Amino acid sequence: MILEILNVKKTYQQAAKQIEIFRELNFSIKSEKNIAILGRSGSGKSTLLSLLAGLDKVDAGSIYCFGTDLGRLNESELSAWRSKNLGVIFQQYHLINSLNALENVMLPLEILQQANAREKALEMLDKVGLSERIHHFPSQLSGGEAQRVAIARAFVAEPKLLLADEPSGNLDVETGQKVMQLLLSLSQTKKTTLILVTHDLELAKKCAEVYELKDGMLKLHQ
Amino acid sequence: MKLVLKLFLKELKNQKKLMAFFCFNICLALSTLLSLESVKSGVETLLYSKAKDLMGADTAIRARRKFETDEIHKFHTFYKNEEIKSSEVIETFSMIFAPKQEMSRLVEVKAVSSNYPLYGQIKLQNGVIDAATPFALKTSEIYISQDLRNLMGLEKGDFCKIGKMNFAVVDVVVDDSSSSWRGLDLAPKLYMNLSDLHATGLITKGSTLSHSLLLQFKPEAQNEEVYKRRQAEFYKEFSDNTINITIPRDASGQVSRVFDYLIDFLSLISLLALMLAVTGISFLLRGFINQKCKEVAVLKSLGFSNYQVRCYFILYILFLTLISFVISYGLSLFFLPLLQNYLMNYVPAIKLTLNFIVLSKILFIVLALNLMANLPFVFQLQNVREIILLREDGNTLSLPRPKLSSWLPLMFFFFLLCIWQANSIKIGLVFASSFLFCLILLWGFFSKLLNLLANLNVRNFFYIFNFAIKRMARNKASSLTSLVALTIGLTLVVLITQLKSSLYEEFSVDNSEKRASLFIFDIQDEQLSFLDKHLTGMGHQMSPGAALIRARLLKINQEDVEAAQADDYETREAEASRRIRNRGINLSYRNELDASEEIIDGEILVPYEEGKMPYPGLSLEEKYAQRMGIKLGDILTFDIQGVELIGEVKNFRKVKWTSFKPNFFILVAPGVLELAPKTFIATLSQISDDKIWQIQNELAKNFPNISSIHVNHLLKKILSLFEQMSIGVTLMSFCCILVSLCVISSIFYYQMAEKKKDFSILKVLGMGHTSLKIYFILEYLLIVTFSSLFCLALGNIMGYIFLNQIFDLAFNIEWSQLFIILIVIYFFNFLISFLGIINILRTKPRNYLLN
Repeated sequence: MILEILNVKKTYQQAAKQIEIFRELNFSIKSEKNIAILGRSGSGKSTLLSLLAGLDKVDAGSIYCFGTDLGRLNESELSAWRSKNLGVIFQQYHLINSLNALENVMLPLEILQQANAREKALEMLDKVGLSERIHHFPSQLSGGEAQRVAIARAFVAEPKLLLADEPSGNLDVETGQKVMQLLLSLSQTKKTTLILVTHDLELAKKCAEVYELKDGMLKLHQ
Repeated sequence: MKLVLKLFLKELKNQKKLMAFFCFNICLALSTLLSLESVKSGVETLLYSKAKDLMGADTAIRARRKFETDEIHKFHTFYKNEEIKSSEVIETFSMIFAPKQEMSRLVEVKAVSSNYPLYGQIKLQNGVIDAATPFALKTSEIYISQDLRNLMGLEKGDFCKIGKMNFAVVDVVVDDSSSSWRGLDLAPKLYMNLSDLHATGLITKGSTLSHSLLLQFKPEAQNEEVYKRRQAEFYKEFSDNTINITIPRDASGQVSRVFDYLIDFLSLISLLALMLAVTGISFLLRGFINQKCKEVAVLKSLGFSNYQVRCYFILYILFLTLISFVISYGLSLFFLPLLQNYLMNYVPAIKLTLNFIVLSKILFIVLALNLMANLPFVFQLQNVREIILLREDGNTLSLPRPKLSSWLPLMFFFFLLCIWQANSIKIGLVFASSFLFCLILLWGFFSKLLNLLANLNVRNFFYIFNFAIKRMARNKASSLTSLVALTIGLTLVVLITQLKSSLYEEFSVDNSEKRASLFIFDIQDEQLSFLDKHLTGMGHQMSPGAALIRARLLKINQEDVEAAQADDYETREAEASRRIRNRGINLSYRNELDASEEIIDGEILVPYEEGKMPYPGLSLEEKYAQRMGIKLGDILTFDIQGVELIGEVKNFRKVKWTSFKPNFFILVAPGVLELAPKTFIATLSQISDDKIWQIQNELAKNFPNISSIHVNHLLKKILSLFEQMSIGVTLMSFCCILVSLCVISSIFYYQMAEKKKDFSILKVLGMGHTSLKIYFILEYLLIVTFSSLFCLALGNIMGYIFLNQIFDLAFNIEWSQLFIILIVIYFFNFLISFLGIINILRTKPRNYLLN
């Protein structure tokens, strides 16, 4: 079992009002595949991602990822778990501005204290077609290039699960499509389970399964 | 303009953080400057109101010699239209011997005639002496100061011997308006009748004394205009430059000279703190303007002119400066009563207020500094074009870097401020240049260092360390500002600590074997050999007596040396030059130079042979020559008790005055002054403190007209005064560090959003909390470490240059104090960064990373 979400409840306090995001969310991924989660703004996509990444805690229920109950891990165990198992790609790339492309990609390997971080990062950057831009800083890269660096960073430590939050949302159509192709092909070759969160149905259709997040429930999209 | 104002007011609500950091940065430096200006103005006001009490007259005519009777008559004639009352005072030094206590000490004898004091009052244990009830001392009676009573254990009714006469102590002076402001007295004071002084036999040829004629003017003549006019006329009428005319304004200036020096120096440091704060503010405003680039482009595309854009940002700068000024004013109002209470220990009756002139002066300074520092960024906005909005990277617009020359007005203004604040072109220029030099040096050095570190790839380093170095090196603007601000603040503390420690070392008792222990003066020609024998009999070796001949400089190269009158505004250099011109000089001669002096320019003096040489040679102390504008080869004419002496300047000497050996501004070649009327000065060296008191007792018994100074005892007094003054300087230097810390912590907190984003990314990538804490603290501590290392080097080099090269004193490194200071700074920096990190660790990454 890759992922199992069991009776998850999550609410948020907004001013004096309590907003219920998930009432009783259940979901599971049994084998390695690409999954898209569709949802409109405010449907709880970001909350789901933060729960899956262990950045937020559930109010009730459990999330098992590769057999580990994320709710039972403390902060340092969660950090160690994330570094070994998880890759995340954001809509706004979120690269570290003070590090160049190569250093950004090396970072997950350095956190894992892997010896050949530079070589692996170079290889990964080559795969995303940025071997000529390794010494460029985020501010010197175009949107497409920055997202490719973010993809390289997400894959370099070979995580088993990859979360992608609207990865082409900030890019033009053509660049967005190229980035998506790259993401899907890498997840296939690296045998990584991809959970793509998007509001774009066309994009979602490129994944093996498409779910829709609506009224706090995940349902297979018809 | 209405639209600009409207936009400005709307935007203001969104910039609370900027406003807070702006004020946080500048308020400390500004309130310090306000407080110091208040102290300065308070002292000036108080002294001016007390000036007549201090000098005890409307006009005082003084000389460092005894006036002849006909001279005094001429003075009265000159002031006949103004004068209603007068009094005479002679101040001299003597040994006093108390038989009951078997003790003798050096005292300052103030012998006064009837009518004293014309102004002010002397409070005795039993009564008050003032203009209405002047001195009523009978023959052989004295009033002693509390210091003297404490020093010798003298009480009312005790007898003591001064010169040839015995006196009875009839009362103790509790408070004396004429001397309440003197920072350091060479010896405690006593009062006696002027007629008694002559009977003591203390006044002989060439005795060290000061003679004053104090005048009280008619009520209609008691105004500044008359004082000044008559002073100028007096200088024209009496060409004798050994005579000084003091009017109340000069008196207040003379009394507060040491205090003014201290306040001016403190103000210079507070200016430095203000400049550091302005540097921090510039960083913040640059960040703010940078953020607004896109908005400016949008406004321009909607028809905003460059002028309107400039007005918008200038309004910001003015508003923020005004807000911080008001807060600083509030802070000063809180601090001033505390400061006043403290200062009242030293300056009773001082009242600290912030008047309109002080406030407008400081407001002008801070407005001008902020505008000059930030307008270069504002003007760069005219290069932001609307077309950039069409570019793909329109979101990441950045402000073009201004040319370095655009900050020249700021530098020029800072130089002017320093000169004005120091009241000295020389000190102001040296201070401002040192600051500018440090700024350029540090900026250049740290810039290179950061470039180097940015590309450093040390694989063996722990990755967090590597990562922190890169972050510090690549956030160049913020790191550079932090490094420079902190290093300048720390360098100042290191420099002051080193100067203090070296001066202490120089004057310390442990160092006493390098200088004289007892300084003996007013030795008459005929006493010299007896004194030498007497001291040899006691087992002490006296230094050869150095002749002292009182003279007056009449001409330099045939041009008369006239007494100079104080201008309304004069720099320290002009004041020093005026003081040195308006006083008599002591000449001497010696066959060979003392170990404490060396010739730095010109040729050695050879004995004068009449007929073979046109003039005898002269050797001048270098600083005296500088102040008088005398060059090698100049011909000087002196008057020695009516006899003219002409000499040619042959060399300049450097003198180590702290040796306390007999040294002189002017030495004349041997073979000229041997027969002139003179007294002698001599010293005893390497004698323990107890022995010195014993020798002083012997001297007082056997040679009553000879006076002596216990050098270590005097140095202790100097060190104690120095200690009191150094508290202010040390506090101000720490204030500078606090300002630097404010600058770097506001940079740290202002970048909080970016740090929180980085934290979120690193957390998602799996970096643990401990590693994250280390990473953020490390970046901060790296800045402190580089600053500390560099400030140690720079502070010590500057200390060495100041002490060794300029003041000719030994440089002594005080490692333990420096170590403590650095530990404290590390602790504070750690605390600031740790508090910041707690804030960062509370961040919820989803708020920064997810949509």
